[in-house]
Amino acid sequence: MGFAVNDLYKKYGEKVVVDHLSFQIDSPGVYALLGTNGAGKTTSIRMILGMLAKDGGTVTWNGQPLTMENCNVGYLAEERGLYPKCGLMDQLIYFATLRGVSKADAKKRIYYWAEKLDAMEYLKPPTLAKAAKIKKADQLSKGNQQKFQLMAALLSDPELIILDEPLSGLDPVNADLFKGIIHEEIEKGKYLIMSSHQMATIEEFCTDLTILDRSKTVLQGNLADIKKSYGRIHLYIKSEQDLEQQIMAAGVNIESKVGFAYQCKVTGEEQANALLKALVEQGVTLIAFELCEPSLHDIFVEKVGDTHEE
Amino acid sequence: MKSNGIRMRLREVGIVVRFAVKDHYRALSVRILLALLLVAGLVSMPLLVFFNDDDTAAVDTGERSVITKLYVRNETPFPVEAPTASVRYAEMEWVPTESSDETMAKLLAEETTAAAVVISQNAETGQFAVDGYYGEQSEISGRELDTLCGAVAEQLYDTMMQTLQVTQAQMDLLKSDIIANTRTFSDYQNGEDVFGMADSALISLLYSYLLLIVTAMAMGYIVQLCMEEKQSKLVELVLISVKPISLLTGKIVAVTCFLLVMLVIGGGGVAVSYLVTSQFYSLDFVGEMIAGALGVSRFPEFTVASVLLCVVGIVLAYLLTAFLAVIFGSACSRTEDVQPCTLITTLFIMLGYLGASFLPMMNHDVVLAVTCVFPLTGMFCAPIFFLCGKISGWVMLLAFAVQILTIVGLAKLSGTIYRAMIFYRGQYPSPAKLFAMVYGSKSKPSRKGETS
Repeated sequence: MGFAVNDLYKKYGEKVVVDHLSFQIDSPGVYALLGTNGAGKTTSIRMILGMLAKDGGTVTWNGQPLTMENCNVGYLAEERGLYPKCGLMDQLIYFATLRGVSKADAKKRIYYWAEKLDAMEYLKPPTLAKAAKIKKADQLSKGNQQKFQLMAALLSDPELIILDEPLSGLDPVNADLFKGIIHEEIEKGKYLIMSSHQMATIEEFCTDLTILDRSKTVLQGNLADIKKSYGRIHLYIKSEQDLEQQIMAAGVNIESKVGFAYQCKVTGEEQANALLKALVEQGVTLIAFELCEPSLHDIFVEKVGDTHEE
Repeated sequence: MKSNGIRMRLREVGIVVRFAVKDHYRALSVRILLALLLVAGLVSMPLLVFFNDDDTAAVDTGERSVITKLYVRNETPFPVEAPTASVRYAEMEWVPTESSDETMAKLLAEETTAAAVVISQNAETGQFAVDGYYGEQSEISGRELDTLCGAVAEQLYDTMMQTLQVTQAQMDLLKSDIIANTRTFSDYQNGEDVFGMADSALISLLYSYLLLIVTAMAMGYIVQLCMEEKQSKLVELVLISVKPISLLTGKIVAVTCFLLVMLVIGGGGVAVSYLVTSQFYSLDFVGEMIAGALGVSRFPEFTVASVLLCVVGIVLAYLLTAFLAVIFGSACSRTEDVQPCTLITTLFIMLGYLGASFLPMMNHDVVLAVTCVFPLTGMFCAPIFFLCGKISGWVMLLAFAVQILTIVGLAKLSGTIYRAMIFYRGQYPSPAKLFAMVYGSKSKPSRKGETS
């Protein structure tokens, strides 16, 4: 049950753009689809949604081929837009009614989401004096347009939500609003597929992920398990004195250094313990000594960075 | 299950139509255009009356002419008298004269409400002429004098008939029209009303022009509508909500609605104008004027059924060209792509138009039937050839059926192409490349792990 992509394949001419992609989402939550530019994320999403013809593979929802009829899908596309000269309320009602929502229900939901996204002023001015604030899409800022695009994606109360770069181009305040809504949808038990370059954001939400590189799957699985498999190899040391010589003497690799704060990479806990023991024996005053799992950013760079350096 | 799907598609089409129509009429320019169309329709009949050369329209008003004196130099042997039967000229002074051109010019220069007519006969051709003159400073308009010359010409004709001792019954007989008709003997036996070859050719030309105007207007709209989602970067948001074929059909129906509304407003304006103007002026000349302008001896008397037939013909032709426009418009992503796209579509339409214009000249029943049944040519000629009695009702029904099937086929094809080209952005491809892109993209997948 749930959502499954099996052996998805696409090529343009001789160029393979999605090479046998498979993944499965068995329970509600966020699944991340990561990759560099041109890795095939958006093409995969378009094939999943039936917008692009597949050259191979299947996409199923609860065991049945996914169609817009048997699964209520909400989609925030990477390429965003609205009808520029059309009233915002009119076009939101248009999108909602196309998804089978009645006009009255659509209005209620629009006001609900507008309230949540702090965009009410563009739809329903509280006084006549502010009537001039009712705007058309082309008069809105990029961030505000993005709010209405997210609204359009969520108006049909979808079971499966696909968000392609949801936070790109948002200021921190609006990014927090979006994050709040994503959390709310997770709590409601929705299935979400999220694609983003902002690893910190993905790390905040996702449980499982696939990393694509040049059309191929390079890493896949549960984020916690992946991190565990890498082990605690990242060491953060902060002191009041220069420790470069001591660290290097212990055979530890320094990745970056800011003042007397060092980002290092160790082979394992034994090497870290040996370094700590040596520093203590030398009477070094330590402010921080933290052995941690790699971040998603580190994993991503490790998996994808090598191939791009070729 | 299938009927449920069709119902769903129809629902989607309905929503798209409502949205597109509402969006269209929101534009101030469209509302101004419709208002202008209504005004043009309303003033059409008064303008026709104003510019009509026929004097009957003016005579019927009972107004006196501004011409108070008319110098008449009659160079024919027929003694023409003043048109006193007309109220308009009842008080006008009729002054027979033999003065020279110079003397008449002097008289007309002095009297601003006087005019002169010279009634003459050409010695070589035998043709009669009534030439009217007015002075440089005259208060008389050219149209007023033209109307008076018409009345004098009528007087001359009546005098000639009286001189020849022609009775009123004979005169009526001489004035009656003669129409040349060509038809099959069975049509003659069935009492079918048909037009002569020249008349039907001109009427079909008029129908073709009307069709060309409608399709040309629609084409631009349709191509713009094809690009609307691409330009607004809305493709994905829209496609998640609606099937491409429903979106396209909805847009095409919406454009049909715009055109029909324009037709209803313009036509309604003309109808109201006709009804109101006919209360004050005789508008009998309008039919003759249109027939004259078209060069036909008579204008067909349209019944409700024949008008409906023409409307169905135009709607089918419009849908056919609209889906053609979508097929070629799907590859457009920039405003500059509209030109090559409309050029290709226009080529197809012009081929149909030329075929419909020239193939019937072969005057062969089979060629005529094939021309009507082939959708691209048939859309220009089938209904009108039926109305002119050139093809049977069965051939016309077959032509409509083939057109409907073609429209359905084109709709499906346009849906496939629109969907395949929806993410395409770039230079407008040639038709061959376009089809290669649509059908060539469905390549066979390689085995897992195999790289290209």
